[in-house]
Amino acid sequence: MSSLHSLLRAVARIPTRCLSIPVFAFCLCLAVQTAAVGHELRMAWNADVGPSNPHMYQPSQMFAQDLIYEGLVNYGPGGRIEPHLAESWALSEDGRELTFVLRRDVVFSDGTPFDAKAVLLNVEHVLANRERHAWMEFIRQMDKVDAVDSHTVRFSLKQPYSGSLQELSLIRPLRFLSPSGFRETGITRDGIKAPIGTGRWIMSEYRKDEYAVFLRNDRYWGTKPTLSRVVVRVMPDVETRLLALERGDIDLLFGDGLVGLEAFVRLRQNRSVETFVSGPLFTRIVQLNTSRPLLADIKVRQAILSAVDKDSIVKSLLLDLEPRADGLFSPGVPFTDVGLPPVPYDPGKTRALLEEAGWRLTPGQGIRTRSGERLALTLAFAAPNTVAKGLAEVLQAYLRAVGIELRLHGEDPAATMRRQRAGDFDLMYGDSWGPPYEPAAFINTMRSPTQPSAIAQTGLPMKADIDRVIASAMAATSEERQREMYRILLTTFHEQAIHLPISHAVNLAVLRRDFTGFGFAEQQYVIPLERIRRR
Amino acid sequence: MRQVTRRLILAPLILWATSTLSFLLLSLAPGGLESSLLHGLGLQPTPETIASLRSQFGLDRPLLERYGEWLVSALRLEFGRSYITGEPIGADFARLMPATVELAAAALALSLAVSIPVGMVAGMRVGGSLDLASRLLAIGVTALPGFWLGYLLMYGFSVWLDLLPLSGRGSWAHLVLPAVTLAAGQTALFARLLRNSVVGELRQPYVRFARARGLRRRHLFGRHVLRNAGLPLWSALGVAVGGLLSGAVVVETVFAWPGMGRYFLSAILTRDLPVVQAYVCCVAAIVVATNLIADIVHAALDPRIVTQAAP
Repeated sequence: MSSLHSLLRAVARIPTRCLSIPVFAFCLCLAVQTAAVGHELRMAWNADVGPSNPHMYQPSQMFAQDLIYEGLVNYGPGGRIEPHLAESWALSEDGRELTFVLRRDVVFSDGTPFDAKAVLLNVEHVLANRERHAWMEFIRQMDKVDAVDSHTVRFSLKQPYSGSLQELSLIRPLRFLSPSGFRETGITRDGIKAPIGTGRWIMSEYRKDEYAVFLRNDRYWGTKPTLSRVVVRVMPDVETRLLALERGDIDLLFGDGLVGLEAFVRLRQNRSVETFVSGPLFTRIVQLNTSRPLLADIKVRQAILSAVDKDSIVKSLLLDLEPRADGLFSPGVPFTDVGLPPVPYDPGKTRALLEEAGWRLTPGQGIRTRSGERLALTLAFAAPNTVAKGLAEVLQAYLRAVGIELRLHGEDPAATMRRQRAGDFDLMYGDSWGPPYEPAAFINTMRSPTQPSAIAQTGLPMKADIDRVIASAMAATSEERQREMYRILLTTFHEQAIHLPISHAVNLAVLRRDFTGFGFAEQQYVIPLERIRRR
Repeated sequence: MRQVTRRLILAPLILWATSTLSFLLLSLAPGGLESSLLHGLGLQPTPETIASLRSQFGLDRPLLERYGEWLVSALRLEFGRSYITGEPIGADFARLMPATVELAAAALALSLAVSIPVGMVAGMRVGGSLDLASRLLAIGVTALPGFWLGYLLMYGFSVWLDLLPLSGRGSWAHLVLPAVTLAAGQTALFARLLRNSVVGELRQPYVRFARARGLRRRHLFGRHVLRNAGLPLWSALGVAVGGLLSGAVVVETVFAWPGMGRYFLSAILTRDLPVVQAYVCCVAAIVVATNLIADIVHAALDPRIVTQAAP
């Protein structure tokens, strides 16, 4: 009886099983398909990703270069230098030799082993275009590079340089192209054959001015990304990018220039996306040119610094997204926390300082004069920079309130650059460089005669001493020495009132809620896509 | 014939003057070429870098020498290389031109397809509802900036109704919104032009005479009124091509359409001067050519022009 019952049950199950097989197969197909689609992330960028040449600058986009190529070291939290393609390194006692031991488990995405020979080939090509990289002190100081063995390379420097490791962690130009990616003739300045690196991503498809597709590098030596594919679509217009995000055509917007502050604040109310604000990166600064007659007087410079209510600017113009800046560098930049007091907003002090300097207001006149000369200054900035434009207008109003006329020179970026190089400005808006360029690379430019930061200091009586201290900071081989030199420099800049720091700029990102795991990296243009996963 | 010959002789002169002017103006642009290069290539202004750029891009050579070299390159339709990408500009033009031609042709076809019937009917029924509607629409569309109309269409048809793709180039559906945006201004212009022309033609004695003779309405409009009223449209078409190309700069940027207009705007932003010069020359050549063709066609259709021009 029981066997008959079992038989009947088995027969009864047949249709169910027959149905369940296709249903199961359908579900499996659906799951596979969903997984395939689910592992793709679509993001927008405002420009074509470029040829992704690791040794060159624009039009190659830094974020794409970082996806494909890697450096010997990585810039980690708090400015700590971490091993990356090099598992360890050693600095000689005189600071002139930097020896790196390379990881042995790294291959380029085409299967070519990453070794000392590949490093040498890349460095040779970079050095063949040395003039283009002259802003990097590490390359200026590099005398030669040689292979100690198959996985050890040694960089010999003419002079010790304390920012060497930081410059080796930069996205460009000291990253590594596979030997098969080089053209048969010429140097990488003139182009590459194919963008092949050791990074987590491989550029699999590229249609200039339209899109680029990156596939996960399954040969990657470290933690592989969860996503299998990233599509970067070129969308030059900010409103189009926002509409595409709203429509679900793209999943990620990264970078403050890609979103816009007001739109970002609006997107915080949107339930289909998640918004992210990074920690402070670079500093928005107004430089005061001490070589100009009116600003040669320290009292006028101090007066300007006290005349500006930065808290109001942060609230109204920067929509409370960026923290107020009291120093030249963001908190956390190594060696720069020297405990300098902030300059408070004090228009009363400003007026008193200007009176002391002989600049007086006559009844019926809004602008101060001294011996018939008006206290009129110029502020130069690149007109397409909307934050700079807004900031310039606010500064104009603050200075007008204390009797200083500020004429705005919002110009084409190239014209602004020429004005910078010629020193043809009283005040100049600019950004510091952010990590990992700070403090060494950024401070070092203050010695370069074509940099606005250097030109702005030329009116200081102690400029020669400043340059000597900068040289000492660059050549310092101990952390104590570096700390001391930066303390002297930052204190001098502060006392001489040559910088008006406004805020520390941040990075912004918006991610559709279908994805999770987003977090910012330490460098502005590094997008850690490997952390993102589908919910 | 003489008129056409004169225009044919003038055309190269106009092109030469435009190209020379653009070369000189851009060479003397504020900031100088080195600053443009530094900005465009994202480089720091060190003395070594500046010297290397001057030598690499030949900025250390006399202006006249560079002009001569550029002119020869332009005559070969190569236009030199982009400062920023290092790619030959002629090759970039060849790659991007089909997208712009596709967009401009679609916009032009759409303009004519809408404006001719609207203009005709509005002209035939002056003061009627279509005349009033077309007038209001013309004012509205002309006053509305192209990019704004683009955003409205994108939001309405792509985000809200989900009927059409938002941006990019691919299927015919990708073409609809940018083509409508680009066509809007021209459509309004053409429709009003044709409407006024039809009104003028209908007052001509030959129309009254034809009606008195009992000519059928369809025959009268199809064979006589439309042919004559359409003459100003030919002249407007010549100018419209220039308008379409300038409109494409904005429309291609808003709709992420990979064409010449976007390439030009990007070149302006990065101060890629050889590309800007080449684009100016290219647009000048297209405008000169289309105007010339429009004039020839106009002259062929309306022999009075040739007669009046003759001494």
